[in-house]
Order: sequence, then structure tokens, then C-alpha cells
Amino acid sequence: MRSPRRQRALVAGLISAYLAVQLLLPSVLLFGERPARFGWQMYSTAPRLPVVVALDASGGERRIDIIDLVAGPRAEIDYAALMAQQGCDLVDASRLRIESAPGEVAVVDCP
Amino acid sequence: MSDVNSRVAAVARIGIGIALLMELATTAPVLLALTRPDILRAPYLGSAEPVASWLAAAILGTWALAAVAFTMGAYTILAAVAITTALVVTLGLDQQLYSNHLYLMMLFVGLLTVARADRAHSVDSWRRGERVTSPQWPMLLIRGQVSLVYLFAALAKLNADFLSGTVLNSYLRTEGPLALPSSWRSFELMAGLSLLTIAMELLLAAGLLLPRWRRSTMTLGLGLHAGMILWMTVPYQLLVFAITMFSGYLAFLAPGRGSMTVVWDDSCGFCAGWVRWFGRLDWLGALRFVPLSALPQVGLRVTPDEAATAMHAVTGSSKRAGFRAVTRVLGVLPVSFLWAPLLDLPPIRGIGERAYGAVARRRTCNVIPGTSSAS
Repeated sequence: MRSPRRQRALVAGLISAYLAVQLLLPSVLLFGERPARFGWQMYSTAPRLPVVVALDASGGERRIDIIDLVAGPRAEIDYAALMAQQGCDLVDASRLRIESAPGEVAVVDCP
Repeated sequence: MSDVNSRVAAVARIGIGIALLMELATTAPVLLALTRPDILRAPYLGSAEPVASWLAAAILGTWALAAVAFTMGAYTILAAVAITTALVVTLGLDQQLYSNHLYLMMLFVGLLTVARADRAHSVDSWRRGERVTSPQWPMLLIRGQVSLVYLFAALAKLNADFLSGTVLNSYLRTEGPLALPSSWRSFELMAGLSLLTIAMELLLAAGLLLPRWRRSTMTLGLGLHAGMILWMTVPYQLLVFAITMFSGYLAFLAPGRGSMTVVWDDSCGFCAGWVRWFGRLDWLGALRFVPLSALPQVGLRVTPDEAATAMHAVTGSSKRAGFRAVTRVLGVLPVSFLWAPLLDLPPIRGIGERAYGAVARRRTCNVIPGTSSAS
């Protein structure tokens, strides 16, 4: 059995640690990109899915419905970057054109 | 360290357990989709290989079993450890599995476990006997957590996208009878609704911490969450979130055992019916029933004549009669505490008082055997 004094100190430590994490972490995250995980920033922005076009060897174009490739759309995730990394494994194409925002286009050559 | 009514943590535990079971319906499809090779992976670390099917099945099975056990309060601490493990693994597997609901539920499971939410309304308490009190400090942390969630949700919305109304517009229903017609979705209305949302969240963050404003703030919270469920695109997830938050609201309510005395006329069958229902719904054990026939022995500041005229609710130095006593009682019942303050608003209170008076005058007064045992 812990002494009441030690028990009080333990509880005070737990309360301080909990409040410090729950106050400091979301406060710091407010200064970064939104929304951030663990910052209670729900519905502060909407998920942005990129426009992806698959190009075949003959130059033909096919629009990819990216929602079919996403398990759960989250506003915190940069799906354009994920498509650039993994898109060629998921889509049958020789190149991928990924438009993350108007005017921001990346082209990925598939091996 | 002070102690509080153990039933508050117990009812909150049941609420969080139900929310956890409901959340499975949202998380399971995402987790199962991540087992497929044709789906994008967003791991925090490591490879983008699909999640192993056995791991997904183990997580979902553990989650379901542990959530049922946690709700029932069977091996509560073990169930809390299992559910926390399942949630940590889920949150860590892929960024697409993150949700603020899950994170909040995980924190509440931890806090309710140290609040000894197993001491009442549980299989554990049925086996070992109910303990009347629980430690207060985890319940105070739940209060702080609820307030912080609203505070940071409001502060995070202070950005150009949200203030312009485009974010809210993108989340509003586009189909069904509650869908806002596109012709109404002007910049002025969307920006105004966005500002209103932020203002409501800030009010909730502050009002819940102020005892004087707490009860009406909880009703404001009901309005905010009901509005989100009715008008936004993911009503089921928002319902789960509302249940999670309202379970946390119970920490603000926290009435002591038998802290409100209800004086009622036990010669009246109609009154006995009401008292019976109040007793059934008094899951927090906040009510102590004193029938008129036992009033002289109790020494309350209610005379037999007053008690014969109307039901009374006595809390400390405060005494309310008739319809206002009913609203006081409803204010400490888990099923009604969120909307009970609405009954104090005009014209509802006036209508209620007149209706109560009319019913009280016409009630049939005859002793129903056994009803006085409600005390």
C-alpha cells in the first residue's frame, strides 16, 4: 500500500502530465498545417483528393476515380503524394498525371 | 483526494461502450479495405504492404468482444486494456484509420478505468458488491477533456477556408429532405453559419466549466450535435461522436447519491406512476423519494399541505414544486438532462405549469399497495 502522501503526489503528477499533453500538443499543432491529428481539428478543412489521369503507351488518357483507391478519405492525408509513390502499382498505366490543386501537376513515369 | 458518485462513471462507461460498438461499423470497412492490394496505403512508418487479414480480424474481434465486456462491466479493467490495445494498433496501422472519435474514446476508456467505472451498474459490481464512490480526479479530467475538444475544434476552424463557408458547404447534405437547396448556399449564409459554429464551440468550451451556465450549455451542446447529425453528410459518425461527448457531459452533471429529495403524494395513483418511472430512470441514484405519509419523520422544509398539492424536489436550500420540480428531476436523469433546461423556457414553462395544475386537480387519489416503498 502506498502512503496517502505518495498517492496524492502520484495523482497530482498524473493530472499535470495529462493536462500538459492535452493543452500543449493541440496548441502547438495550431501553428502547423491543418488539420493535424491529435489536435481536435475535426471539420476545420475538407479532404482534397487529387485529379489523376492514367496515360497509356499510345498516348490515350483515362481519368482515375481516386475514391475507389482510398480506404477512408482523410483531410490530413496528402493523397497526391501517395499516388505519386504507389499509383503505378495500383493503376495500369505508363504514366500518371496527378493534379493536386489547380496548376499543381506532377507526372510520374511508371516502370 | 475526494470521491464522487460511482454511478456517474458507470453510466458514462456504458455510453462509451455503446459508442465503441457503433464505431466498429465505421472503422471495420476501412480496416478491411486496407487488406486489399488495390488500395492506397498511408502507413506512418514502414512498407505500404496491405494489412494482413489475420491482423484485421484479430483487431476487430478483440474490439467487439472488449467493447461488449466494457459496456457490461465484465472484467472491466481487462476489457479496457484490450480495447485500448485494439484502438492503439488501429490508429497506428494507417493514417486513413485515424479519427478524432477513436482517439477521444481511447482517452475516455482510460480515464473511466482509473475512475473505477466498474464499481456500479456492472457485472463486476454484481459479483463483488456495488461501491458507492469513485475517485473524483479522473472525472475532473473528463470535464477538462470535453471542454478542450470544443476549444481546439473552434480554434482550428479559425482559418480562411472555414471562415469562407466552403468547408461547411462541402460537408452539408446534398440529398434528402434536410438538404439545403443550392440556391440558398450563398457566401453570406455559409460564412455566417461557419462563424456561428465557431461561436457555439467556444461557448461550449467555456460554459461547461462555469457551474452557473453548465445546464444551459449542455442543452446548447445537444443543439449543436443534433444540428450536425441532421444537416451534415456523415450522420452516423456524428451520432457516435455525439454519444461519446454526451457520455463525457455526465462528468459535469455528477449529482451525489440521493442528493435530490422528491416529496410525493402516496395517496395518488397517478403520482405513484410518475415516481415509479423516475425511480427506474434514476440510473445515477440521485433521487431520494419521500412519500407524504412519511414526511413528518423526515424533517424536510415541505409541509404536508404543500406535498398534497404538488410534487416537490428539494436540493440543499432549494425547493421546487409542481412542474418546476418535474424539470428539476428530469435534469438529473441521464435520459433527459440534456433537454430538461428547455422546459424552463417560456412559453414551455407556462404551458407545463398549467398542464401540471390541471392534472393535479383531476388526479385520482387512492392508495396503491406497495407504491410507498418507492422511498
